[in-house]
Amino acid sequence: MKHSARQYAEALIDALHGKEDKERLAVLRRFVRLLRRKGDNRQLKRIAVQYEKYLLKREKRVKLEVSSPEALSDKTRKALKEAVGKDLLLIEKIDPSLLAGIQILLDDTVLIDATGRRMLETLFDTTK
Amino acid sequence: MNALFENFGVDWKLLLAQVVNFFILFFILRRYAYGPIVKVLKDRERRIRKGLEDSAEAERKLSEAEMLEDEILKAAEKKSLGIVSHAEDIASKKQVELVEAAHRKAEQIIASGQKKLHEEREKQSEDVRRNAEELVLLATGKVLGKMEPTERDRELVAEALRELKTAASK
Repeated sequence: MKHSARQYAEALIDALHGKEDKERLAVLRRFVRLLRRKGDNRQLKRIAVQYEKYLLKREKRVKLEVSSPEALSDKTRKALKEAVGKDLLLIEKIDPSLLAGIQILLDDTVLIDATGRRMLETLFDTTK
Repeated sequence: MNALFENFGVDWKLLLAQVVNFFILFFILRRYAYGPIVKVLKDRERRIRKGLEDSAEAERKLSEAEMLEDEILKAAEKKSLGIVSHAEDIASKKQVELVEAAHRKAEQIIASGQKKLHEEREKQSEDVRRNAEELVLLATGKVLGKMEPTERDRELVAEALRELKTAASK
């Protein structure tokens, strides 16, 4: 019987819950072997996505991917947390081509682009 | 009877001899002179008549041939006129078609040239625009890079936070 990526992800979270790092590694190895045996290796990427999503939901956290031309200041990090109002899984990326401002990807679904590059692109788009 | 012949001085023996001589001569002449002469004359007459008939026939045939020649010439003339007329029609139509085709081709070439020219201008404009965009981006980046981070980011970060707050509350 085939299982969905979500089912695998939920099972993995349950299996890893409360385990030490060493035990976690053994669980992961067994999990990968199980996937091979079931012929579901190709679902690995989808399982990873579902794992992250389910884990964040379980822990009531929000994933934020923030790109900026320079490293974020503590003040900005605090402001981000306050704006969301929940615990964050904050992934920071530095991209000098953004020129200024920040670009935020909320839960892999909502993109907020307040960067100097976007402003310039908008400027050129509107003058076409 | 004898007395009558004697009175008229006719010697019946001589007369008989003359009669016999006459018939002998008549027979000889008929046999060897008159017959061949008549035959020659008849042959000659036949040949002349035949010659005259042949001549008349030849004349008739010549006349017919001349008439036929006239008819053929007239028919040929008519046909040639028809052919020439047809050829002229075809040439006229062909000329019109060629002129129209040439016009169409010329229009196509002009349209194609105009299209290419337009595309080339568009491409040049796009290249100029892209170059300008890159230069402005580069220059702006350099200018912004020299400014204080707080100045540079303050408004943009504030804007992002406002949007984030709205999105997170949904």
